[in-house]
Formats: sequence, structure tokens, C-alpha cells
Amino acid sequence: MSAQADIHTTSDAHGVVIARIAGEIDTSNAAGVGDRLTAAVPNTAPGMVLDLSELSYVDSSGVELLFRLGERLEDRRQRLAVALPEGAPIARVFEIVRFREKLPLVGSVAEAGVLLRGDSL
Amino acid sequence: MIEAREFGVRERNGIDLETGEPAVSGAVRELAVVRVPVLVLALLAVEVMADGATHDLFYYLLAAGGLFAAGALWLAFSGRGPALPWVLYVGIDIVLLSALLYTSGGGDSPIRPLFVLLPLIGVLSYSRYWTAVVGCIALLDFLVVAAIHSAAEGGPSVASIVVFSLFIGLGTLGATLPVHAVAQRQRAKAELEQRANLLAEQAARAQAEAVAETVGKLQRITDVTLSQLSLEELLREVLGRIGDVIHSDAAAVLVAADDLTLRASCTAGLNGVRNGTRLEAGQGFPGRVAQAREPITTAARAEEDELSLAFTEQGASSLLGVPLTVDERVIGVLIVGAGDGRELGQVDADLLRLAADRIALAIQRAQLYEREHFAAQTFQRSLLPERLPEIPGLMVAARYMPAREEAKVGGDWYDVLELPGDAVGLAMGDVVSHGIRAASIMGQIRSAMRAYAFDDESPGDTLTKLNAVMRGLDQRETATAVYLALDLAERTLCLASAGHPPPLLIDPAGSAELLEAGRSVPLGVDAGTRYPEAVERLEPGSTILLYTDGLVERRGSSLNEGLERLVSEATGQSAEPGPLCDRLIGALLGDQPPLDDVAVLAAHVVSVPEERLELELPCRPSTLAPLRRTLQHWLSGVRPSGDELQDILVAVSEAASNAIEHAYGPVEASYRVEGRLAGDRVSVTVTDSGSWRERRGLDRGRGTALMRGLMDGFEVYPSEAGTVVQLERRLGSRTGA
Repeated sequence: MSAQADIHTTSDAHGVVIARIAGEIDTSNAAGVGDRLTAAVPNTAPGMVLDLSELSYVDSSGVELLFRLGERLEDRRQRLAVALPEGAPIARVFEIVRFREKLPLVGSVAEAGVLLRGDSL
Repeated sequence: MIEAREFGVRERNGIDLETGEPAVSGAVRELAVVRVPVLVLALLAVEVMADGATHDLFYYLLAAGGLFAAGALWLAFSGRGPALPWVLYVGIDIVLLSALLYTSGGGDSPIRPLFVLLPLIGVLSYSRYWTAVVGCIALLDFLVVAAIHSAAEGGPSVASIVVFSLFIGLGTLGATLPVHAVAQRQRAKAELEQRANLLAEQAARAQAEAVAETVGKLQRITDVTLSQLSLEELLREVLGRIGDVIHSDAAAVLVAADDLTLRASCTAGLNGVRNGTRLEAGQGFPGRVAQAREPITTAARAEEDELSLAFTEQGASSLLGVPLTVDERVIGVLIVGAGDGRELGQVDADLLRLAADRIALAIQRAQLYEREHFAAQTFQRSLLPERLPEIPGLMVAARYMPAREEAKVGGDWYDVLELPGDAVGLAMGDVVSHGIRAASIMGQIRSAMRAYAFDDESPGDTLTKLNAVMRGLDQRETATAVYLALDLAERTLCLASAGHPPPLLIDPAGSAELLEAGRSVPLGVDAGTRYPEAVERLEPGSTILLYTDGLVERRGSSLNEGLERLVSEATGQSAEPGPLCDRLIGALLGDQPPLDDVAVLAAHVVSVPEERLELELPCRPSTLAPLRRTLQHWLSGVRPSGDELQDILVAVSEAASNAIEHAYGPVEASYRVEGRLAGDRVSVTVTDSGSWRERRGLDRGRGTALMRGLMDGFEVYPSEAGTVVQLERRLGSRTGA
């Protein structure tokens, strides 16, 4: 069976979409997760924060989907930031692929929010 | 007619054996042998006594007597004797002889009146007893006359005596013979009539018997059609019986398909004819029969279609084809063949034509029944999983047997669900009713069950909700169901049962136990039921068996006995699920078709050997998550840290993703994952049959980077045959990583 990923979206006072992804992302569901995330961001939103604190597994296909999502949002003048607590088991994947060189990766949703607002202001 | 005149062999009982006509030769012979000499001698004596005083009138009378005798003889021999009543012959005879006697001047002999009796005696003597009596009297008479003659001197000359005697003899013969002949002819006629009556009676009886036999034969051919047989069984049975009744050597039924082609549906005594052999409309002998709508007999050699050739090959020389019609529509053709010089004729054709009408009706009924049954069965089958999912660490197999007895479609169902997390769901249920309706309810329950199960409901909650679904169905039905959620990583199972027979758990040591906990009432009974659940240990190497009551129910024995038998048969059998299902079905049901439909589902938890892991998985992305579960389960023995476990899972998943991407072509490929544990070293090899290359898209070697970065050893061995990726990680080597 395909990997399961649940997405729960909210938005903060500034319209930033906060999406919490729980579960796993691999090649079997990466494309679907990407589509769902893209669809969750309205054109009016300044950006999106991905909360990966409950993501138990991710591999290169998940990383690829995040990069693509970042590019797509950038085309729409929107920003993407990823929140992942330090020391999380999946953090090593982000380190190895040098995630921070492409997208902002911070320790918490609050930090990410500040980051996006600061950028957009 | 025992009193046969055995004078010759040509006749018997007065009937000519060759012509069948009444015979006269016996009478003639008799007269020649006995009566003529007697009469000649008697009249000789008269002449002697007459002393030559004979009138001229005597000679005229003699001539008239001769003519009369000749005429009578002619009438007798030409078969027209009965044209004159025999009384007339006798009367003329008496008058003539008496006149002869008186005109012969035979004077005053004391025995003279006796001669008047002679013709009468002739009449009376048509039986051999009277002939003997007459013979004796005549002999006595002769002796007396001879004594008188020797006493008297000077009688007539010897020559005149002889001539006179001959005339008298012939005259008398002529007078008596027709009487005899007529009497005999009449007797014979009566006898013939009697015989003809007898023959007619026999013929009538034979005809009646033939009709009865025909009816009986028809009955024998067609009574089978009254019972509910499948089309194939019906045809085979009918052909067998036709062979017995008609004494044919081979037979075949061709049934018309929708496109008006005839297909051989069943054959008896024919080799080399496939069922389904097609003949276009009008083609070959069967086609001709179908077009003619009449029975046709033919010589097998004259026909050249495939079927007729097969008949010829089997030695049939004469073929009879009869159309099978229902409501004037030809639905098939029945062909029988006979060999050994036997010609199939009108009688066979008439009989088969009668039988064909009933066979055709039976075929139509069987076709309809099969179509309906097939539809119901197809529907039900479509509701059962087409194939069970491949779950690493769990081997599953299921069997479904429809009830044979009334060929009814049951409501048994089962399902295997790969649930989120580490769970696997096993479900089975049985809708109480039968037929399309049961199958439709079963489909609804199964769908609802899947929905709740995927929603991560526990077994108890799932059944509680299913109960509500059942209560909400238009049709008030009850159903039993059992649902088990297996957690392979935690090695537990959680189960809830709604009145379903208890699942069977066979532990790795082989001891079998019924899981009686977590049971409640069937679904649909009480709207307010909250279904409890129970948790059991699930050791690797154990097997779980779900089944419907059809497996344990038998006529004449209680359910408990059935369950005991199941436990005892399953003991020591924790093994591959497929063979286990077959063995248990064989042991509990034997060769008997099940009374009710039977579903059996077995799941065997693979005990992963500590050091080695070997998996072969289809090249589908959906295998990645289960692969990670299995790896996790396998590695749990060496207690890796959370990071170590995560690193290995990601690296192996990356290698497997590559293998899956490499798989091209229409044939489903598979990849192999082999793991080794040696001390603190974990090594995993992923092998595929494609050629190595970096993944496409935006990946840009990130997968390779991950494998290299997460593992202590990473090697790729590309070859023609495929690619081998070797990964190695030393546990505890990166403390603080």
C-alpha cells in the first residue's frame, strides 16, 4: 500500500498558510502530497509554512516535492518555509541534501512565520 | 388341431405349408389308399349278386356319375369347392349310388341296404376314426360277399367285373372327394381365420407394446431432464441414455449460440471433437438438419463436416440428425451415429424427434438457469478481492467454495486490508440470506467495513458502526462478521466478532486455539449494540484462520463437534496459508460439496530469521511502505537507535525506489531485498533487473547522495542482468549523530 500522509492546513492572522504533514512521504505518494499542498495555498496568501514535526519518514522524493513546491510558489510570488525541530529523525535527510541552500529551514512554525512576514514586509 | 394328418409334410392341419392355402392332397391320398379299394370291392360284390340283370339305364347313370365326379374333382382342386354346399354333393352322391344299385339288378342280397350307407359313411369319415370304422365294415362286407360269390356258379366274366368296378369306384370317388375336400377346406378356413385373428391379436398386442416401449424409451431419455442438472451434466446424461435406448454408438449435441452458429456442447463416444467446435448456420450435416427442421438420416461417409468425420472415424456408418426446437426456434441439433451395418431409420427418427422436443425444453431451462446462476455468481465473485495484497511479513491465502447442493449464491465475504501504520486488517462475514440480494448486502457491508477500517477505527468501533449501517439498510438482514487488526511490529492482534464463528489461532509450536474473546451479537440484531474487542499476542510464526460456518457445519453433527474437529485438524499446522486452507477444507468437508458456501482465510505471520532477511517484491511504489515495516521488524532484534533505524530505512527505500524506476516493459518485474546482520553490521542488498542510472526529474542525484551520506558503505554494481546496490551500516558508529 502507498505511504500515508495526512495534511492539516490552517492560516495565521497574516494569511500565511500553515500545513502540518503527518505520516510518510515516499515515491508512492509524493506527487499527490505535492498537488494537495499546492492546492492549499490561495493566490492571496503571502506564503506557506510546512510543519514537518509529525512527519515520520521522508526520502529524496519528498525533498524533490518540497523543492518543486517552492519553485511553483515562487512563480506566484509566494514564499515557502519549512519548520522541522532540530534532532528529528528525518532532519539528517535535509542536511545531506543541503536543503537550507534552497529553502528556509527553521526549528518551529513560529520562527518560519516570522521569517515569511519579515521577508514580505 | 393336434389330430394332424401326417400323410405328407407339405401340409399341416389342412394348410398347405407352401401356399398357406387349404390343402386337399391329404384327402385325395386318403381316399386312394382306403376308400377306393373298399368301394370297388363292394360294388364288385353287388355285380356278382345281380346275375347279369343290368339295365341300360345303369350305364347312363354311370356316365352321369363320372361327369359329376370329374366336375366335383375339378371344383375341389381348383379351389372352388365351397361354391356348392357340401350337402348338395352328398345328396347327389346318395341318389346316384342308390340308382346304380337298383339298376344293377343286384337283387336280393341281404346286405344290399348297407351300400346305401356307403356315401354317408364317406361323408362321416372325414376324420381318421370314421375312416377306420368304414374300412372295417367294408372289409367285413367284402368277406361276406366273397363267401356268397364262391357259393354261386356262373357269374359274370372277370373282365366285366373289373371294368364295372372301375366305373363304380371312380364315380364314388368323385362323389365323396369334394365332400371331403370341402369339409377340410372349411375346417382349414376356420383355422386360417382363427390363425389370422390370432396374428391380428398378436400384431395389436405387439403394437401396443411398441407404443409402451416407445413411451418408456422417451421416459428414459427425458426423465433426467426433469431434475435440475447443469447444462453440461444434462447433455452428458441425455446422450448416454439416447445411446442406451437407440443403441447408437456415438452421439453429440450442438447448441446454437447467439450468432446462430452451432457449437458442439457435448459428445459421447466421439474422440477428437472439442466442445465448442463451431459450425456456421447451414454448414455440414448438423447445419442442414437445423435448416430443414426435420430429422434427417444420412450415410456418414457422405458428409464432410468436422463432426460427421469424427463420427465416421469412430466407425459410425449411419447418421441421424434431429433438430432441437423450442417455440419453432432451432436451439440445437442432436446427432446420433450407428455402425456395424446398422441403419438408423424412421423408427429411430420418430423416437428421437419426440425426445428432442423435451430435450430442447430442458436445454433451454438449463441455459436460463445457468445464465442466472452465473450472473449471481459473477456478481458475488466481483465483491470478493480479486487478489490479496502482498504484505511483507504476512502470508495470506483465501478460499471460497460456493454451495453445490442448490447451486445457490451465498453471502460469504472476506477482505485483507493494509491499514495505515503497521496494521493489517483481516475481515470475514456471512450474510444470512442467499442469492443476488445476499451478495448485494455483502458488497455494502464490505465497502463500509473498508471505509471504517481505513479511518483507523478499532475493530470494536468498526463493528459498532457497521451495525448502524446494517440497521439503516432497506432490507432487514442480519449478518455475522469478524474483524481482526494485526500489528506486526507490536506483535498483537485486536479482534471483535459479531456472532461469527471464533477465529482460530495456531501458535508457532502448532497448538491451535479458538479466540472466543471479543464476541457479541450479529450485525443488524440490535441497534444499540456496542461491540467489545479483545487483544491477543501474535507471535511470529503463528497462523490465524478465519472461516464461515459452512466449514464447521455438517448434517447430523453439532456446531461444537465441528469446531472440535477444526481445532484438532489445525493442530500442528501453522504453515503456509494456501496449503493449510486446502488441507482443512479437505479434512472437514471431504469430497462432499459443502451444504452452505464456505470461505476460509488464513494469515501466517512470517517469523523473520534473526540474521537474514530475504524479500522479493513487485516493482511498484506501493511496496515501499510495507518494505520499511518489514525492515523495522527485522531490525528490532538488534535495537538500532531511532536515527540509525531512520537512516537505514531511507537508504534502502532510495535503493528500492531506483529499482522500481528501472523496471520497464509490459511484464511486471520484481526486485529483491536481502539483509544480513553480522555483529553490529547491518548490510542490505537491493537487486533489480534494470540498468543503473540516476533518477530522472529534479532528483539530480539526491537519492545517491542520501544513500552515500546515510550509510557507512554504499556500492553500485551495474551489469547487463541488472543492478545491485549494496548498503552497509555499523550500528553505534555515529554516536551523537
